[in-house]
Amino acid sequence: MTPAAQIPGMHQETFDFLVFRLGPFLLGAVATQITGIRHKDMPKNESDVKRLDLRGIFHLTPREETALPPAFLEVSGERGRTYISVDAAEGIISLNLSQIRKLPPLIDFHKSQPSLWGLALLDKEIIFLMDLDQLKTE
Amino acid sequence: MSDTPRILLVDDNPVNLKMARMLLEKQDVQVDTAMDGEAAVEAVRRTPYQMVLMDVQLPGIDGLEATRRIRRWEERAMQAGDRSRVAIIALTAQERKEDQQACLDAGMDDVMEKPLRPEKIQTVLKRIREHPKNCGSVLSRILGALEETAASAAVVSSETPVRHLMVFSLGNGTYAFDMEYMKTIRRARDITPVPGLPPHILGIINTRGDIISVVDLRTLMGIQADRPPQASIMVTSMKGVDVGFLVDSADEIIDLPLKSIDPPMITFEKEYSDVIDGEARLDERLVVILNYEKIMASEKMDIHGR
Repeated sequence: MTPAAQIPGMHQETFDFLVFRLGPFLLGAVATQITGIRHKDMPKNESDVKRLDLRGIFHLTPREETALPPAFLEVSGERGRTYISVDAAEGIISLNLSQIRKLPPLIDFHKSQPSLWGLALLDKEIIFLMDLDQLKTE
Repeated sequence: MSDTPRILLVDDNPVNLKMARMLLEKQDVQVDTAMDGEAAVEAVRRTPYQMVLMDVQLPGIDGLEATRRIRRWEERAMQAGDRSRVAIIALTAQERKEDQQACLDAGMDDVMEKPLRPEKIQTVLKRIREHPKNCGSVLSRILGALEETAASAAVVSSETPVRHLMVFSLGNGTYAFDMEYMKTIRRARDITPVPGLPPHILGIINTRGDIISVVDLRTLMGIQADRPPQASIMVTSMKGVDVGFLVDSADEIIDLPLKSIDPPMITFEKEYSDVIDGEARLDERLVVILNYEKIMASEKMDIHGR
């Protein structure tokens, strides 16, 4: 899969991101990286499909059992088809280039996830932008 | 006219106002403050100031528009013989020439880059005192003299070597950074956590579109104490990289004679003692002077050595 920074549309003024929630964080990925979103009907017998728990990857506490069921983002990339579990898929947002920033140097240097590449400024919230193809799982 | 210069300080950040006011009042200046552009215009209409130090980014009408309004009103007042031209100096963090030119185009006399520093203020005030009735016409000389500040400061320091320090509190201790790295101070609120960071990096703040990392200095220094409900963030800058440090409170700016600084006596673990330059008595307190550059080069920060 093409790295996020090279995805067609990235150099235009606006482009679409899928925004999803993970614990207290609002995260986003270029919408074209995600080939589907699943909720209840998560396939169980697909041997060629990988599953990644984004909470585990960020060392967050596991979801509470009483919480709503997770959403699964389907990504097809270099590692094949992968389902990435997140707390909730919030929807598509169109971001203007002026809303997007690089991570500050200190954050960029100390981040545990190389997939985190930037952030988007909304009126009252900040969305952290990820390249799902670059997820480090160990 | 009184010998005591009267200055209007305009900034929407109450903590910055407090710190700048502290600096100015130490120089025997009468300081009035305003927190937005409209209040600044009204204050200038009411009071004949010798100088206005105007933040450019303000809520409502910004510093540029406030200056235009002051100049338009002043023109009429000067024709009526009521008022002389007040010197307006932009306070800005913007280093771009076009931004600085916009200040001049709006009617400001010159631009002073933030942060305010004691030596800049001393130079300006010296000129105001020498030319109290016609401050505006000497502004170019004043600000030209600012460029020479480093040289004059060197002369002063050869007589009484001092270290300009920002003193702040952390837990039960009192600490200090060199002023040259200080950029601004703001209340510790709206810190957005970032996923997957070590515990000493709390997250980021958004200061008018500038995104700044925030470091918990207490955790970085291994200081065990609860965080007070109203803490402050000291935004610092080195080599173009801004970093905010969360502290309990930013207390005062001091000039500490070098001879009063002793080697550190408080025992820290080696990891921390490496970043301590020394200690000094300040009133009843013991101030631990931290070496900013060594902190920024430490393993837990290490952004410049990358």
